[in-house]
Amino acid sequence: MEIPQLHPDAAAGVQAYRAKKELLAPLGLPPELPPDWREKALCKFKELLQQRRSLSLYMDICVRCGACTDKCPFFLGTGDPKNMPVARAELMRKVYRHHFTAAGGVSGRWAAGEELTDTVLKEWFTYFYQCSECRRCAVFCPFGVDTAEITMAAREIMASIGVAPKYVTEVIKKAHETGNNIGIPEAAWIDSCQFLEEELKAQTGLDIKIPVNQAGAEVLLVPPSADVFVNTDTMMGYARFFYAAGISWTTSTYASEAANFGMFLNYDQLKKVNLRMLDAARQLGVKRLVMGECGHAWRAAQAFMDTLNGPLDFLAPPCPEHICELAARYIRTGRLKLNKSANDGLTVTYHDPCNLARAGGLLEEPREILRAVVNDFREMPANTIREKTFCCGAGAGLLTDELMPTRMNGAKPRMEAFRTTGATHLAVPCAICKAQFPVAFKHHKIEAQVVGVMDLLGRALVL
Amino acid sequence: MTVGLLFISCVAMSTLFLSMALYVAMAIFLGGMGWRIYRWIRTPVPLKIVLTPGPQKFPGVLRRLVGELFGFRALAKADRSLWTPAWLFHVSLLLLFLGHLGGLVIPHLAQTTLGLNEKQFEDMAQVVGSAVGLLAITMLVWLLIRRLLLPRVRWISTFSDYFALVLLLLIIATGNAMRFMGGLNIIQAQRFVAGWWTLHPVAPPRDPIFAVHLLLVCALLIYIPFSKMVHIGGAALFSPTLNQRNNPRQQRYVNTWEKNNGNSTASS
Amino acid sequence: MTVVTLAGKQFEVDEDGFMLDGAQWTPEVAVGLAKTEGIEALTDDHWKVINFLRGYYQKFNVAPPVRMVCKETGFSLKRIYELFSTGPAKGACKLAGLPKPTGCI
Repeated sequence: MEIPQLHPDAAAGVQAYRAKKELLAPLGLPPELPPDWREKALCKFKELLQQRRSLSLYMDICVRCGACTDKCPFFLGTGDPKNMPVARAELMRKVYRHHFTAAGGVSGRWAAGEELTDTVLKEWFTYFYQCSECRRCAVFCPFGVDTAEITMAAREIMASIGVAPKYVTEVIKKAHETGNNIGIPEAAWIDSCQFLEEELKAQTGLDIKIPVNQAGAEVLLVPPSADVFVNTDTMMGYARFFYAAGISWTTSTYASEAANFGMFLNYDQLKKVNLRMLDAARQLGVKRLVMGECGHAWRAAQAFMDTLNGPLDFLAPPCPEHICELAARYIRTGRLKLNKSANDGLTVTYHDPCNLARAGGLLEEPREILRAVVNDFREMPANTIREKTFCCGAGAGLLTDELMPTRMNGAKPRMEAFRTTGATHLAVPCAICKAQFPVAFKHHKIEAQVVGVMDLLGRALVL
Repeated sequence: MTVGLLFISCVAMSTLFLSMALYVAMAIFLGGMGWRIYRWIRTPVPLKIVLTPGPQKFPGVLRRLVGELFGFRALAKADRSLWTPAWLFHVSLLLLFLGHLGGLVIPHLAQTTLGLNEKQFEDMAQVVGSAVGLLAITMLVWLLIRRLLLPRVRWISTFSDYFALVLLLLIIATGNAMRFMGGLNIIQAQRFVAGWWTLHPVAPPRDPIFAVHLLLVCALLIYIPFSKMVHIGGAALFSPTLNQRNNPRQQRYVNTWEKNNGNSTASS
Repeated sequence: MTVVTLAGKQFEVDEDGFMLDGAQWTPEVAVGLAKTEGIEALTDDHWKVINFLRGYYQKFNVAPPVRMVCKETGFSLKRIYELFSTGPAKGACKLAGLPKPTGCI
């Protein structure tokens, strides 16, 4: 896509709502900005520099070569130079240089350092919440500098002084209270699953179950709770698959959420939210843990779960497994009967959610499924898929209405790539993408629908 | 300006000042780099965060690192018009480094290894050195122009980005000047270098450009550990996104600082 | 905290205009909230959705799945978007005095 001209401060006015004390206190964060917030923030900064090589190295080594400057969807969509990955990271580096390097102390502004002030903090809260931690920039960096890790560190520092978005903290609070981000209590979860069983019965005439809290099941499936609330076709897709594969499975009302918004706030919450599904797996005595169609859930589970809350030796490997891996394995070994023509009339293309593709290595399995269940499957341009995929524009805690201008701008590169395919359906295994794309389609005047990968598999299964 | 430089170099040449400056600069360089690298290595990597699709086995990691270090592969994916000058510049810098090593530090070994006589060796050094020097200058100018003309890159550029380019430009320009003006007595230079690194410093060649060249190199050596130039320490080698195997499900990855804290959460 | 006056009474709402205390909800309040969503007059179809949402919320303390809203009211999702342009989880919940649903939706 075309690289925009620079429009300084074009996105400066788009900011998330700040969390207030009723959301901050339950997460163990200061209920308001402490009077000595600068010292506290710098102290946290120093702690993170000592705890994370990535941060310490990435503060030092960037040469500002500019390779990343035209890679970020939020820059491409807004033209705001502070949305260029290097410039975003420089918001943090300038504070690092001022407070933590010899050069910053000796030569002041020649070293391009800046003191941590109210203005800088405001800038951080704006621009580190306009980064979806999608890591596209890192793919093109000669040193592998991962802006997502810089964003995570900046957010962790802000959280430590009570500066956090309402959206992210509210979601984490609900996950602790009810087991899921939407806040669906146990009774409602059971009722919704029964409702979907009735729907499946009406569609197929079969008694396809969506079990809840079933001890001794082989598989604990942890879906994003949005699959019960809005993306119900995906939920029914899982059910059809498990039915056809003959695998006993269950959902849990203690861990009814795959997503881990802790990753968007701090290490502490990342770990706590992550622990819930292991506790649920232990309680229910399942043998395997399978993750549903959620992008960052996969990252948090696949890459971090064993480190954070392991060992996972009480579960069978691969642990955790993604539903697309499991389904692709069953397709590959010929254990599913499929009728591709059930999806005829649909022209399907596939969006790689950044956390599945770039952070989770899940590139082939969703495609394997789609090729097996759809006759007309086509790819978007090569520089916009797989590890070079463009973020939907709403990841990492950006999926909230007050950030809508940034979300719609951030979706622009993906929308343009989609347009080139002429597809009618965009298949995507991620709840955040699924919520973002219909709005983005409307905004960018595209007539198309969003579907889950498991929705399409479910339709093609001969039961 | 020229008069000033001449004055400084006269002072410099009249004593052992140049040798001493180089000792100090080299000590700061080695100490600084050692300290930086030690700090990077010492800092733990709490979570396994690899750029995927990443290699699952060690040979794959090696290939990735070699590709990044010697081929600038990520940069090639990002922007060919940046990769070309950046790669050619770094290659010419490497060749210049090897040339200085062969021509000044171990001239006899280099000469016999290559099977050349003294005249041939010097001619070769003259031709190759000049060509590589010109290539380096061209690439530096390209990078400088790019930094000034491309609005995105200009926007992110700081004083230190220009300073680094200009410093390198001056070092290589003075180096080339010695070749093209033919003023440098190569034998004297070799003697100076031999004396320097065997800790028996002798007087440098009586060439003001040589003094300027060497002092600029001293400035660069001192500058490197405290600036973005620290990346010559092999940034990609230490980068956790590049130097790890992507196998968190195959092999349990342990966060050392959590283990040390008795598995309690360290942050609140 | 923002305070709005609807049907002659004052209510606290969040940044997006959702009532903070759903117990204070009355049909008159819904009429007032409709204005903030650009709805001039509430029809029977609107009320059908609102009443279902409220009934479900009173029972389960959460908004119902979108599919269930369609099924129970007999409206297609398209029709619901015609009634509430920001959709069942935003506009409809707002008018029904429910808190704003949040999560990956």
